[in-house]
Amino acid sequence: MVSDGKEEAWLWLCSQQGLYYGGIQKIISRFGDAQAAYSAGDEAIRECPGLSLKIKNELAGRRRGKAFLREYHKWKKEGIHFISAAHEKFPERLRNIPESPFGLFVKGELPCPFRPAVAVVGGRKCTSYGKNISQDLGRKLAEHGVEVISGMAYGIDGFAQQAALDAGGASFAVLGSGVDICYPISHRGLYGALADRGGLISEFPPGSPPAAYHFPMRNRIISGLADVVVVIEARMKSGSLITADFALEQGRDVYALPGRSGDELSAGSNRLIAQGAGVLLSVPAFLEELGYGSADAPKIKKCNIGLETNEILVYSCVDLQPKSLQELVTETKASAAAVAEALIRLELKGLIKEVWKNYYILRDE
Amino acid sequence: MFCSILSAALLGVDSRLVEVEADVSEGLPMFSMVGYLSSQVREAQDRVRTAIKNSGIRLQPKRITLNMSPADLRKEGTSFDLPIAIGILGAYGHLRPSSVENIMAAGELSLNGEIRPVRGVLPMALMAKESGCRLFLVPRENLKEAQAAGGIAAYGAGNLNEAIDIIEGRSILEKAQDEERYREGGGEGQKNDTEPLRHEREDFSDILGQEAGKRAAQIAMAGLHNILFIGPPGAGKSLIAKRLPTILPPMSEEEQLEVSKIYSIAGMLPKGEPLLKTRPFRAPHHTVTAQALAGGGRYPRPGEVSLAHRGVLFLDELAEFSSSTLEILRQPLEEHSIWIARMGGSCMFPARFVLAAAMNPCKCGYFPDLERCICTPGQVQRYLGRISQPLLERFDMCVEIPKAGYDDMLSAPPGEDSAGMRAKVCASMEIQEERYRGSAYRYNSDLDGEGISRYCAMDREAEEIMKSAFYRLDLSVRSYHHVIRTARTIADLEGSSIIRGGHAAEAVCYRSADRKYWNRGGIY
Repeated sequence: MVSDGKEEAWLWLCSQQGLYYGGIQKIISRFGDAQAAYSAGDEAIRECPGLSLKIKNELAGRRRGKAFLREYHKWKKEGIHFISAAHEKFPERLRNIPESPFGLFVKGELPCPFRPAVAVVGGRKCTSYGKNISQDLGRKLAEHGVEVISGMAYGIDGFAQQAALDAGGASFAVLGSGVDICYPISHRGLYGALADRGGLISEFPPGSPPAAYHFPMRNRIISGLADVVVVIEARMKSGSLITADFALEQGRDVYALPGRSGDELSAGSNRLIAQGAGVLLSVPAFLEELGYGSADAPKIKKCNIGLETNEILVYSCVDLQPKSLQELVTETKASAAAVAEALIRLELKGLIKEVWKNYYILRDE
Repeated sequence: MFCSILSAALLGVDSRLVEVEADVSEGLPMFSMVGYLSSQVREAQDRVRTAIKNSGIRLQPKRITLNMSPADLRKEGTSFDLPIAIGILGAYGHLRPSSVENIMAAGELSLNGEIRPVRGVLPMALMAKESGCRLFLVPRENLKEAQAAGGIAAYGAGNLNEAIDIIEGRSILEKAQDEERYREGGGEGQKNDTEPLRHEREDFSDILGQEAGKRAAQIAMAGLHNILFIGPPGAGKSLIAKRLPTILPPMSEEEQLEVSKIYSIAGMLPKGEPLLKTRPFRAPHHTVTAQALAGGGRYPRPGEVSLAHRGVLFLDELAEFSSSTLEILRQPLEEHSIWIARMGGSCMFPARFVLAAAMNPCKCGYFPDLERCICTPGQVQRYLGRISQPLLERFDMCVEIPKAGYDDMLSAPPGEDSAGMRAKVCASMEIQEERYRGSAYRYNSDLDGEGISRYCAMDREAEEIMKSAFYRLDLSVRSYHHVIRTARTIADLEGSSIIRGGHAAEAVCYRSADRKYWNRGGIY
């Protein structure tokens, strides 16, 4: 996409390691635009206030002999390209947000401008309840042709994106590192699938490490790329709340999944609801509210037919919160052997699920 | 004059016959010792000479030559002092040549002529018995140990003069009285019979609640399955593990001898208790080195895996053990013995133990209680990842021990006690013995693929459960085998000859954690 001098100038600025939005802003306000800075003399660059000498020297150095272009050609071989805010294909949704990024590095594609997009964000640490909802949401959104935007983090982000991809939809991850870096490393599979069937997007040049201060910055792009932001299981101090703040600032709708009162993992999302965010009552209801699809009649699948006495006893004690084998033994007052046997029979019938060694929850489908 | 007497060198759990030959001849006074001796044995010459002098025997200055054969076997330890002294006395003519013939001796000498106890007397006594010695002379403190071998005339001597009297046959008639005296003096032998044994002070009825853990423990012991307990700190994992030996059947005489031999070599037999009656329970700390676990040293000595032979090896905080240490366990778990090759020779130690291990689910210990766990998902996975997959696969069973609730503490009915649990375990072991008579297997945990198809008949329902578990729960072939073996034991506990659906279902519940499940990080 780097075809003309203008794009080249933006690439030169945006691919500078350690130069963030604020720094570029300073250069632009000094020179007027990127091209002017690009063609200014080394001395003029060095005189630019508010930037470290190291960065200014590097900027001047990388311009000599177009060293940054050689770097860019290497990235292109890995399927990474650059698009500046001045480019016509730059996402429209992003243009109008405060502190809109000057350029993006993309591996894969950018979100389709004509299709709706929903950001699903949430905690890295989550309960099986949050996991189920985020997966369900990701899958249903994909089935209705909605693109899922998120951050590829552990927990909610990853589950929603994986589910969307598995359902054959497109999903886009905005990273806090360069797009050539897979973080967390255990999301290798998801990373590859996103590059194939969606896109990896970052305002940081390839090779940037996943530094902690990158993540709040990238959150504005997550909300910016989406029409609606859904927050699932955010703690009181959570990056997802930063995303929600950006969303409000950018004029996006914010929905939150209600958690149980006093549940630390949902304290942040519950607060959002208290402050007036939309409530994610159920996935079908949410889709209908946004006009993406109609609410199916809720399926009632709880049939105790064919269960033995012991199984009914144990089944009645299993909950949406994980309960251990021992807790169930205590509650049912049955023998450990009988409870263990009933649990496995229930699990094999698909009524409950073991979420962790000897911890069981109800399975809701 | 020439004189020779037998002794024994320890080699692993066995011993080898060593002949101590002494010769005294005219010439410049000197003392030379040959026969591949370690410095401990070489130092014997000073102890022996002084001890003989202090026992009131005057030796003429002559040329003494001493050889120990076989000359290619490295001799270590201090148990050769006594045979060397006897050999020299024989060579000087202080003992009748016929009286030293075909006797074996072992013991350390002190400078005043007293005989001190040595380690490894039990295997030596067995050697003496096997080679048909007419008399086995040991330090008085080791007499009981020597007698435990049975079928060998063992005599205990407190000092060199007594030893000479015994050899010369002067005090053999007094032997019976002598023993009587020792028993009265020591008195420890009898005390142990009445006092409760070490394990028996601990009982499963001490544990309130945790029925699931106790049930799993009983199944594990009934089929000698290796078991892994996972749970937060303070839940009672170690309490349960410590009580595991209390529900194992008492050791047979043969087993007692086997175990005592190992402890004898390690010098760990309790005083006055010639045979270990209780099953060993070894719980090495997680900083244990690979050598201490496997056994070793330049001259191999048994390690924790062998000391736990016929008992329980308990590894608390499994994830804290260094991975190279844990990998050592693979061979003994597979082959029930461990080969140790060292400079001093290679030898095999038996190591048939039940492996019980306990670990926290994460660094802070509270996962999957998300309210209390402060670990990130990555930390939880890294913590679990410390246990290698091959080792995980050695555990037939795995059970979660959650923190006990308040109700458990107060209102739980007192659970079954160890005696009741042991009775069921014994009954199921008898069934196994009966079933595996004449086959390569002994316990359910020994079954391999072939054994499973031969001995683990299932009814239709059990087959259906296993089939559906295999697909739905994504079992690997190996964990499928674990489950069947466990189900076989559950069926044995209930006296059922075929595995029914209920047995199979319960066994699935205690299946070990495999990698897929492990990596998923459970709740996340």
